[in-house]
Amino acid sequence: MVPENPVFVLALGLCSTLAATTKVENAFYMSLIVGITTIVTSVICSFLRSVIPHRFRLISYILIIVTTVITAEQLLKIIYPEIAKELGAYVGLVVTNCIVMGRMEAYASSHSTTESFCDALGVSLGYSMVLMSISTIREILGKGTIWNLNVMPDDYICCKVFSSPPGAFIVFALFLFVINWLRSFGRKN
Amino acid sequence: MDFNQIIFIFQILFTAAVAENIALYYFLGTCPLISVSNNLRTSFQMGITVTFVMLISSSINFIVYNWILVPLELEYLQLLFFVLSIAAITQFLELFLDRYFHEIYASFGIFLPLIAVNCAILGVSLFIVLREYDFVTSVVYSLGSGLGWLLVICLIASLRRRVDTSSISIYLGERGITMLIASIIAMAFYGLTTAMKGLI
Repeated sequence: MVPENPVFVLALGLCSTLAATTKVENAFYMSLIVGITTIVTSVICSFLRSVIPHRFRLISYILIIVTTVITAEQLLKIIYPEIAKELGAYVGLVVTNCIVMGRMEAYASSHSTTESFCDALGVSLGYSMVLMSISTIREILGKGTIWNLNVMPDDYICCKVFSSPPGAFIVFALFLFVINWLRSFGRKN
Repeated sequence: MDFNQIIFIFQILFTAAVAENIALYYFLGTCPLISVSNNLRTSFQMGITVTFVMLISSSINFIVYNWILVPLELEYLQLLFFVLSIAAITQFLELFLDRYFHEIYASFGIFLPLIAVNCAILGVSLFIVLREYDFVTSVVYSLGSGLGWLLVICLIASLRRRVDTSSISIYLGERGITMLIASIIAMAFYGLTTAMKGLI
């Protein structure tokens, strides 16, 4: 979850990390969707691993992922229509999120169902942790709120750059810096 | 085609390429942007390939969506069809180039399988459906998005050549500095868009 964090260490799934983190609320639902998709696809994949022929494995993985994402998208549209509208095309883009595919190829295709469930759970927790922390910083600095609640004093002037696209890159780079710095301490001890 | 239509098309092109750049505004295709952009030559070839595939796939997806899925009321299956058609197009293009234009295949054939999982291409197809563009607009939009992506990856690759010769913090690393470069380019595009709005 932490040492092999998909976003920072392996640089997978950057698109949704940057796009869905303007607000904590969006980030929460986005990580929920990605997490559920990763877990479900990993479990299905490891369950079917003896049936899927090796030559056609990529196309079968894509079909499993697409089916899961379509189900998740339809469910989201029914339960939280506003969130679905706000996330827009990014829900569909979970299909091309490398984390989901990477876990299936690297882990679930060669491990038992329980093991791959735990692995997928860990990876998606790591992913949501990153998403939540980036979005918290961006929402506090950009809008002065957390989950639409005011946390900053009234005379706080919002720093618009953090809720606009360039801010995402800056916050991400800073996170990378801090995490590598912390990791270097771990290595010394 | 009268003057207003030409202006409209240019507006779409500019919006897609600069103001709402697919890589810096919607963050699509950021994975290859960060990992492939260490060489200007390969980045340029990658950008050209992406533009080309984007143009073909979004026009085919437009036809598939409006002529097959809408009459059959199967709109919710759009994702499945888009993914399959993008995979099929890249596969077909690979075979076709290998057979007839071997030189081109040798120069960018290796990127084609990578492109099948590039989220920018799927994203453009989905945006076209979401915004209900007509055929001409969607072709222009996908062309603009592809060119915008090409521009950004070339800019980042050229800037990274300077980074290679200078000393950066080891904690930031290659990836972190690329992120910072991207943020600066994003700000520049943002400023250019605001200035253009003032002119119009």
